[in-house]
Amino acid sequence: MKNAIALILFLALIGGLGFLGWKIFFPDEKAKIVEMLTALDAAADITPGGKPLSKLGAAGELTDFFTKDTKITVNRGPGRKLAIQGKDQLLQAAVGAQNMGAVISVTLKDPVIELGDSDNARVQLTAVANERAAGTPFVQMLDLTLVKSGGDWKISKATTVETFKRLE
Amino acid sequence: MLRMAAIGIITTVVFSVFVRPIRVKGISMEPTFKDGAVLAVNRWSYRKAPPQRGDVVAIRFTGESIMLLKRIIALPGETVRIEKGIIMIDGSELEEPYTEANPDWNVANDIKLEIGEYLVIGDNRSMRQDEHEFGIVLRSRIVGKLL
Repeated sequence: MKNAIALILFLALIGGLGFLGWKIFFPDEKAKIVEMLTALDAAADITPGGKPLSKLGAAGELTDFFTKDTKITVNRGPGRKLAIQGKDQLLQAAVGAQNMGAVISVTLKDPVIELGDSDNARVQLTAVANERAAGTPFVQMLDLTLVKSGGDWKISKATTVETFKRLE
Repeated sequence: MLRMAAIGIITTVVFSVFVRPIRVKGISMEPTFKDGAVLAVNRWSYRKAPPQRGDVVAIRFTGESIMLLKRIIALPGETVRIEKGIIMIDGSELEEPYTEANPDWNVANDIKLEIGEYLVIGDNRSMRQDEHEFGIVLRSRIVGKLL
């Protein structure tokens, strides 16, 4: 009896380790997207200082998460709309933000991932930006369209999602 | 050992199913709740009855890691207008003992709330209107009432 229980526990352990190993070495697409978002989270912080080349490098690292023809639309109410078209404009915006001397730490929370066909997906998430100078964090829901390019997931479109229907 | 495990399980269930602890960040609910205050949200508060005017509620984004704390000002079916900081519900002035009206706050048009829509505003009206996040929120985004 004891041997049977030990055998069952051993098989369960082997099965569990096998499953874990499979997940690690052959992650599903949702896991790959989460991994990409975690890397984006780390690259999205804005820190001032440093040499122009290192600033450009940091900004370039950020743009690697986007497709060449990416479209980003940020709508913060009447008269506060920002539109970025393409990786070059995004690079300029990222370098510009660094040159302004702002210290902004960005965190991406609660991603809701919907897989489309094999090479596209939609993600809704909450972005939290903490600026050192401001007391209140800036929180914004984002709707991202992802496409798979060369085996990597990249952002082809990003738009802000309103938390509230605004009163006009 | 068994008692510790039972306490652990009960605590986990209470804090994941019934109550959600939150920490206030920012000033939009001052003077009622200060920046840094630790509070709890009852996630089961609206299981039998809908949200009521005056309730302070947590509003979720895509998940519950980050939530907004606001007060319910108007209910589905009501018509709202803001004139010089005074909130008018169906033509009658709303008494707000928790805050002071800011005459710079105005919403030009009457807003009729549809089914499932609630108007929520923070208590800190000393802020500029365009810097204060407020508006109409769907019932599905309201996580629960503050304990």
